Amino acid sequence: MDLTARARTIWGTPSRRLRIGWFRLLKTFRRNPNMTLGVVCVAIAVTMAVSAPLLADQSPTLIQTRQRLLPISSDHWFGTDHFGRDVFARTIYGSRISLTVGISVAVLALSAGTTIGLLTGYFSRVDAIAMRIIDGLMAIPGLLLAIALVALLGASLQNVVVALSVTATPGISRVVRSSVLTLRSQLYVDAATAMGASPARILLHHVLPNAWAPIIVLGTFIIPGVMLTEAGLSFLGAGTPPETPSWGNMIAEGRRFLRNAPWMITFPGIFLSLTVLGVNLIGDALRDLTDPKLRRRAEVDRGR
Amino acid sequence: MTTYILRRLAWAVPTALVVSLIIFSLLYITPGDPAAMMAGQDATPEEIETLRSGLKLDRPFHVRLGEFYWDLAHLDLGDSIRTGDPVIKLIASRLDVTLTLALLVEGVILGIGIPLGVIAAWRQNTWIDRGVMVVAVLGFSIPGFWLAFMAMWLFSLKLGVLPAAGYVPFGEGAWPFFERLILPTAVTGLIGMALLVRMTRGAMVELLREDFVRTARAKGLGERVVLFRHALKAAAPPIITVVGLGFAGLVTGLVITESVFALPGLGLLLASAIAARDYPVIQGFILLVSLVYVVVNLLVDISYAALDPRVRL
Repeated sequence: MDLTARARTIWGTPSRRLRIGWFRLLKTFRRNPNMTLGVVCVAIAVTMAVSAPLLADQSPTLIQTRQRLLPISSDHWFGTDHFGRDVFARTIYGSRISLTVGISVAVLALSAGTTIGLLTGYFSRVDAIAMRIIDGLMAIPGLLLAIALVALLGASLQNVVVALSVTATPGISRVVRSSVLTLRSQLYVDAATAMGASPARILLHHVLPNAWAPIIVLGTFIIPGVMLTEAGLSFLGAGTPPETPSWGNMIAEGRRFLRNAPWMITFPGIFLSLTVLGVNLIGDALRDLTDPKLRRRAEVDRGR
Repeated sequence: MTTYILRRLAWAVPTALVVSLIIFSLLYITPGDPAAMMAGQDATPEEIETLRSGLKLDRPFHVRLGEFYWDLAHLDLGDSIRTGDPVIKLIASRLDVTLTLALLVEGVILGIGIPLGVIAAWRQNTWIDRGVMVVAVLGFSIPGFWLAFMAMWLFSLKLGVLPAAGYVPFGEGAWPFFERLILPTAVTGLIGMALLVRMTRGAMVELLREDFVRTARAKGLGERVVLFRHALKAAAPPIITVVGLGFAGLVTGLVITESVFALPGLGLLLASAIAARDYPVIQGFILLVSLVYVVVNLLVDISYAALDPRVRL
């Protein structure tokens, strides 16, 4: 069993086409409370990120040494940390880091992975070499590769995004490549070739539109993984610089004050978990929706 | 079977070479000059230069690459910048703690994860199934280190039933030894079993619709035999794949758990190496783990073929 088959074991068999009509989407929400819960969680995180200055009345970075390690009160809803900074404000602003990293990595890794997958799936000459490199990259556990890359590039938000994108790209390339391998032997691709279409036209107009569904589903599974890895990197000291109010950094800083100020760790962790949970639930629902085999089975189960 | 194993082996060797090449290249282009770092802050440029040629860092890529493989063949991963000890010695001295924890965690993952998945599939669409799936999706969503801190806060600081952190060798008493491993094992296992539970359930749900399951039931076999002897056996290949893939997650989980609970294993070695920017230790650790991962994948493929003759073709 090769790595492609393994990727499928995790992410499920990709279907051909993403057909989500509005009516079906509405029906999905009604039938699938998990999807609704996921959307609510993500909506909360997005609202926090977008309107952070409105929601938090205090600065996330203002140091007030007289107000160190204060418990939860009406002034400080989530208490204060060891520098007297407001944990509520930091938690709100932390959503920005998590979402920025999650979304930028998904966009970067999906673009790179799709490009590599299209090229390697279609041109067998580049395939052999590129696949060996991808096998090699996939043999390094993601967090460790990211640690090595951040150690190499230096700890900054930008470099964390780059490192995580490099980590996520190989898996996507593999899945896209496997779709392309099946798609390129389709009759309509032969027809286009016979009509003299260039490889670029075939890939962009005939293959890619039919490979969208697994790519989008993959994207929703990459975001939560990336958010957790980003927090893990920060926790190990190989992530965003310590002064950045990211949820991972907040948990890392709070560890020394677990006994006296457990709120420093509790709240960022709850919001990180809920955001990741939300994206995971949406990803599950999207996969069920785009997998016709699964959908049919779900309908059969309901009918019984 | 032998040809299959040889073919897989021929596949694994280039992968291992590519992995080591990637990791060597990372070491090669690392900006923070190791020589400058070792020489200290008030070293003159001449001193740094002498040290660099002493460390053989001034030679071209291909020469150093050749040496890297030569050293690797002699199990030499270089020396730690911080302590000067050989990296392989540092790793070997920490191996026992990590291996103990890894075995305990894997025991929890397999011993609880697989039965949970089977039961969820068996009672599909009941509250048992939903409960199990909720636990699984939470395992995907909760950061392990946060759960570890929460567990530590509850069980050690509030209830005071378990020690918060630290490690006592087995020689100094069995209970103090195990007592300190309960929380780390439980937390890492709980997070680590999520994927396995899901995959087991998914595979079993499909298999329980198959004719051979109906036949087994019609023969009058008990449910336990049908589930665990007949169906689970057929579900073994995807389960083994997930367990093999879980190796990466296991390493990640252990690194983070050891760092939280101050267990002096490989994870803590890595965490302190990151803090000190001790590149040889970081890269030696990653190289070793990745090479082991290649071997794990090889073993998964071989066991796959042993279980399913179709794969060998």
